[in-house]
Amino acid sequence: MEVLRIENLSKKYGKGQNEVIAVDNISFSVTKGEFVAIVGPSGSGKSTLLHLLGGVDKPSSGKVYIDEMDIYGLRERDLSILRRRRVGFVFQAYNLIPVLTAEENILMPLLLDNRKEDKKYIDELLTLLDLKDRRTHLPSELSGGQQQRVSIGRALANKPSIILADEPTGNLDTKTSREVLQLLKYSAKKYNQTLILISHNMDIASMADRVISIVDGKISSDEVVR
Amino acid sequence: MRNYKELTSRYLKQHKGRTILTLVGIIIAIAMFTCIGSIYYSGINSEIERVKDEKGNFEVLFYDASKDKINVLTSNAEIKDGGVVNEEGSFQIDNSLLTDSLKKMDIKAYDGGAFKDIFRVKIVEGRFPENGSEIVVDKKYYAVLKDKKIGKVLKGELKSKEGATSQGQYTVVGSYESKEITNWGLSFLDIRTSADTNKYSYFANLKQGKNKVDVAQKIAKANDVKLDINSSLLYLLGEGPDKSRNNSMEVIFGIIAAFVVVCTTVVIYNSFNISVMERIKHFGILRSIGATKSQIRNLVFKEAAIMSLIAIPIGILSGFAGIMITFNVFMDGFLGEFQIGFYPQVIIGAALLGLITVFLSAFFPARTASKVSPIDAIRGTMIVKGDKIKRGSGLLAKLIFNFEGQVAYKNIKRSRKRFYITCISLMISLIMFVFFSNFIDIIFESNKIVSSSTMVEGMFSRQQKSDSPYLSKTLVKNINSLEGIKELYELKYASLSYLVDKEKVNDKFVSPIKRLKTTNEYKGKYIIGNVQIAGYDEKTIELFNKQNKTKIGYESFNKNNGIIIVNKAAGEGANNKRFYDSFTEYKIGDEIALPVLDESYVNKPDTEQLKKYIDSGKTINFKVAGVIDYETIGSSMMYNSYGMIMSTENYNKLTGVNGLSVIAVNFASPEYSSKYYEKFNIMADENKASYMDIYTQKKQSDNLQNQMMILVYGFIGLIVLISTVNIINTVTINLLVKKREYATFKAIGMTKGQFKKLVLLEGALFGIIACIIGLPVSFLLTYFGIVRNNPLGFIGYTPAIWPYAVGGIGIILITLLAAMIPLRKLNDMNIVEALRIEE
Repeated sequence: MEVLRIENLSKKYGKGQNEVIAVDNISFSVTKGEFVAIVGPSGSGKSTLLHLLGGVDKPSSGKVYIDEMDIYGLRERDLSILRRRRVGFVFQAYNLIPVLTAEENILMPLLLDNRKEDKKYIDELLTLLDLKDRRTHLPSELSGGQQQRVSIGRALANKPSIILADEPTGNLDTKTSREVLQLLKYSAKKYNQTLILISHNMDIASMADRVISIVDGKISSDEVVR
Repeated sequence: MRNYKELTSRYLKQHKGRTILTLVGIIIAIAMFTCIGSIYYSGINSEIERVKDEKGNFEVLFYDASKDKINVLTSNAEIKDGGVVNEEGSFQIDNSLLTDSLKKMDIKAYDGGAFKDIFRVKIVEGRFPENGSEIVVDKKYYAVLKDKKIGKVLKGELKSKEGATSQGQYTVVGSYESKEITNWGLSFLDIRTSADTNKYSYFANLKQGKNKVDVAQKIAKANDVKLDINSSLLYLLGEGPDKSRNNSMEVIFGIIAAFVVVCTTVVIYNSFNISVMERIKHFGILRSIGATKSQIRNLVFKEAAIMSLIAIPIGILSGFAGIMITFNVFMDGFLGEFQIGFYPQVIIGAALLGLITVFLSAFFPARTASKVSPIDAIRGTMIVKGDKIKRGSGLLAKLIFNFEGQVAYKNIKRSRKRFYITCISLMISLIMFVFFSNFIDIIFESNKIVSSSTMVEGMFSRQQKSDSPYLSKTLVKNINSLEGIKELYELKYASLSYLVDKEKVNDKFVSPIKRLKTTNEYKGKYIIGNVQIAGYDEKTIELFNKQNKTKIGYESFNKNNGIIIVNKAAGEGANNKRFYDSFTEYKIGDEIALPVLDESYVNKPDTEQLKKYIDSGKTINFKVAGVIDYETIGSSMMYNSYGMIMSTENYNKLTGVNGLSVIAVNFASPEYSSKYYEKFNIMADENKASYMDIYTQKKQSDNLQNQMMILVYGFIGLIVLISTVNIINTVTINLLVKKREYATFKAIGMTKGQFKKLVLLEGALFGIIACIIGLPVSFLLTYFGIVRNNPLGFIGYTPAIWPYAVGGIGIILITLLAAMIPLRKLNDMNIVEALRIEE
């Protein structure tokens, strides 16, 4: 079943001579439960592509469909709601709210949705992320790997259909990277979520079901690995 | 955590410093609203009470009414309460012990309402009158009756308003509270039994709150009686006949309140803006995980709501506490009877104004926060609006403070809005300080001039009419015999047309006196008006020596025909511009030949007569023993003229006048001034002179001065405090958001000293810029606002410099201090960590 489809997506910055085409007329689709790695050198436009998929940036042209919904045809408010219910972001720099505890950071998307937490599910998440004894800690009191696990928890809190991860292991050492990645892959499988991950590390990409390579804003290859 | 909005309280707690600073700003604003409101309502109320005490507690007066009409009026449904008064006439008391002015008494008959409700007569001794032949008199008059042992029964002739006279007799049954001798005898009016005339008056208050004048006019017309209104009371109630005049007080206080709103909005806006800017990335993250714009806006508004909830009660309480303490401790007897009171509408007003201020301040930051694009926040590519850096700027700062100066200057200008807001708020404080300090300085200086003539504590003076008698030696003896009189000074004064040598007149005065019609030129002299000649006795010369630090011995002063020139005078130059300068060019040692006059001339000066005296060649040669600006005791400001002081004997010889004009006294201790106040007034009355209690007057004016100073500096202090909060906020945020840049500076080898200089300059530059623009503006405002249009008349005031120095240095110090606070944090920072900060 198709979860995400993009059609002729382009993103340009600047004008005239200064024009930079970050994403150049890209089209592809992703099915439910698929683990896609997007790889490419720095500056190839992969982060921009990911942001466009998640509805935080605006394309210059083209369309993005999540669950058959044209997300850039939505009103600002509805797009925000879609983001909080269907998409989970994991950033390289974790981007946690420093004044909130680990657990509160994870709960944030639910709170924004004015929804009661599903206690069982959150407990399960905390166990899965190995954060049970860290739940009341502030981000500044956590290690990088723990912070990234919190940010994964936040992405999973609303049981989104798509998880978008932007170099989630970029700031972590090899061992922690592997753990975090295993965790992402495991949870995506467990809750039948689509995982789209950006990396310039082929090692990491090799764990994916499908690898899309991007060079200069264009897809240079799109291979299903397994 | 139950709700995403709890983020707000979490943030406020985490950033206690900023929260408290913002709270302080809001609290000060609300406290100021409370104070202003309290003063406004208390002022109006005190004024209403004063008018009621002075003129009576009535709104309208129906007069020329007959008995029947009075009966109709008293039962009129539109009238709340009232009192009937009949003026019986003028009573000439037949008693030789009383002075002329006390012999005449106006007899007024009051009914119960007039005594109790309208004129609020308070009995001090005795009781209220019960019939038409009993009267009460004011307590001072009562004291005179007692003092002279006149008894309770006054006989005499009563002359009614129509002119009919009859023999009358009144029994004094008591005295009522009054500040002065009123010469009123109040008897009781029983409308049922009194005579029927058309001269009854009915003082009344109306039930209806609005359009009182219209209602009263209708009643007067319907009953065919004449109408008068208590306009001073009606204006205070906002019901004056001229509708456009009713609101002037409200306008003044409205302007002050608006000013406070603007000042505090600037500060609170700045605080919110900073707190939002600091968290802009967090808002971006929230947006990226699905927060809507209105959710973000609500976060900021909730912050505003929490702040208001804490600050409003504290602000109102501290405002009330502050104003109560200020007025009860420092402002006793301010403007007479000023009573500060508690008014519930002040609470509502202050709270509302506070809320408006806070939400107005939070509105734009909330909008900025909601507009943040999630992608920018995540990428860290935030571009703060107005964050434009010009290449060539700050060259002047570089010249003065080296490259640190230039960097600091460029840094503070990075956020334009914040830069301008901070500079403006500092400038407002500076300008207010300089302006009001100068204003107060003027009042102080002019008061000094006034009080320089009050080296004495009490003064009897001859009345200014030419036929009034001189003060008698008996009066001198009587005063001197009293206990508690430390010194007594006998002075003689004359103000008359006299002459001045042409070549001795200050050039600046030549054309002004030539323009005056009263000026004549005669034999190398100008004959000018209002020359003041004073004769001092030995004691007065001693007083003069003490005040002017001179050593003039009376004997030689008298023997050598010494004369002291009183030199400062006002003149009018071209295009009516007033100036103030020395009138003559006399110096110590100069000789002056003055023509001898006689008493008839002094009483009735005449230019032709004066020319004859000059022609006669009879002169006395005086020698200048001193030149001073002002006369010590009794004379007024001189205008195109000058004064001379000589010994009392020489005064006799020159003017032919032997009588005393002024007797001044100093008491052994101040309480005698109030103890003798009534006695001296009666003594003055008996001698057809007037008495002035200079000690009390001076004390009152000194008090008023101090009280004004407390009010004005209190107000300025709060405004300065608000802008201090603002500058601390601005500098702190300016510095802390650039942690990474400072770390870079340090990393590439900036020394600790250089670093300190850079940071301190980022604070102090605000103060310096505020001075560069604010001081000239203050000067212009002060010069054109108060120095040129001196509100207290022309006193030859040189504008004070100290407000500029104190204000300028003060503001630079405050800004330096503001930079010291974050400097501590920055000094402790770890370069490597700071470089790593993702922001």
